[in-house]
Amino acid sequence: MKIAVASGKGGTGKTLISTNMFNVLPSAVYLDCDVEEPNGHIFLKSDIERKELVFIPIPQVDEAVCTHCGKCAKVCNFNAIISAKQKVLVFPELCHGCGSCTYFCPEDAISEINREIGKIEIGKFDQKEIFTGRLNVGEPMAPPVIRKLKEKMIGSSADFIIDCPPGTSCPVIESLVGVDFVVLVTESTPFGLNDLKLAVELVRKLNLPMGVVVNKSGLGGTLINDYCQSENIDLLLEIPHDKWVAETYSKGHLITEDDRYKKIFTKLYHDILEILK
Amino acid sequence: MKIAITSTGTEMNSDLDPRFGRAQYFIIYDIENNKIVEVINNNSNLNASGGAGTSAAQVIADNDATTVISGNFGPNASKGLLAFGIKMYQSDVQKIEEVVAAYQAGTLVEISGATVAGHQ
Repeated sequence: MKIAVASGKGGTGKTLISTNMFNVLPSAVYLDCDVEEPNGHIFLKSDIERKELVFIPIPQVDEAVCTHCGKCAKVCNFNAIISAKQKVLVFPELCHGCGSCTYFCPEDAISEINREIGKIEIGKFDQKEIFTGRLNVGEPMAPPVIRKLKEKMIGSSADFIIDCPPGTSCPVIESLVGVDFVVLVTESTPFGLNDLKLAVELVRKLNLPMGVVVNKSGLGGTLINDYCQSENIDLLLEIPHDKWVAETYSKGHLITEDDRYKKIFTKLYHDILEILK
Repeated sequence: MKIAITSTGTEMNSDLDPRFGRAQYFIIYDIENNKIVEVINNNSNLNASGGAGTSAAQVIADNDATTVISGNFGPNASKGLLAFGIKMYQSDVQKIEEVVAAYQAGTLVEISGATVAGHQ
């Protein structure tokens, strides 16, 4: 079972849900796909046993062979390579590494070199593997790092918990590809509802089964409950707006160390299995 | 000799557009014959999610302009223009005809790098 935890709105509790669900599973793999600011490791404390670097291929132009025909600039969708009569110029930070310029160069004047954009840190928490994606500071493109993380899922029969980035753009879509179920975490505020609607729209486009968790429940009334009911979306769990939860989280501890929440999160996992039956 | 001026419109009495990469139009002006030879609609760059500066530098080079006048140039745009040997001049927002007159009078300031930071 590969369960992604996403949200739409940031700061609703994706990491609270994903780290605690991971904690109650006897065996699972954790992927922190929030690569611009991964924070699962704060709760799932582990030593980094090894690292894998993430590269994208960028073009290198041999000016001696290049005839400055400009084909590379024409086929680049990201304006990352430009060409004039005497000179071709590559802008590495704009390049998405798609390889089009290399493929279409009629003179074979372009080769590809690797540019590091991030890394994956690998460790173990409670004998279970955790993979943390980390985009290098200043890099604009998260999807290649997430793609590298998601490779861990390919051909694996293990259970996975995937902590997604906020929002509904490319990094989220990359994180959701290939999962079995999406947990959307929100809070019962107008902002929470607005962004939940966007996330629901996205998950429906990807044709994935989903359910909603309301965090800090009790704030702002029942607008999420009403929305889920009218849209026929499973409301999986409501975590109350509880000072103890906030304190425990702010200390970097797991709330499932407490038996009551351990039961609640175990039930959450089993409820998801039940929905998928 | 052809120069390019970023413009909010297509006429000599249009205002200069202070943005280079995301200018609305590029007016290509022939200095010797004192006339507009081409007006390029920059709509595709105006709405590009990224790389507007580099793409605009490509447009200027493709139109054989050797000088470009705008309000501001970003880091990628200026890097591209410099590499292509295209001169950059900075101007206040004023009518294109006034920009051309100022350029011919030699009162515009030539710049050698970015005047504003890039977008992320």
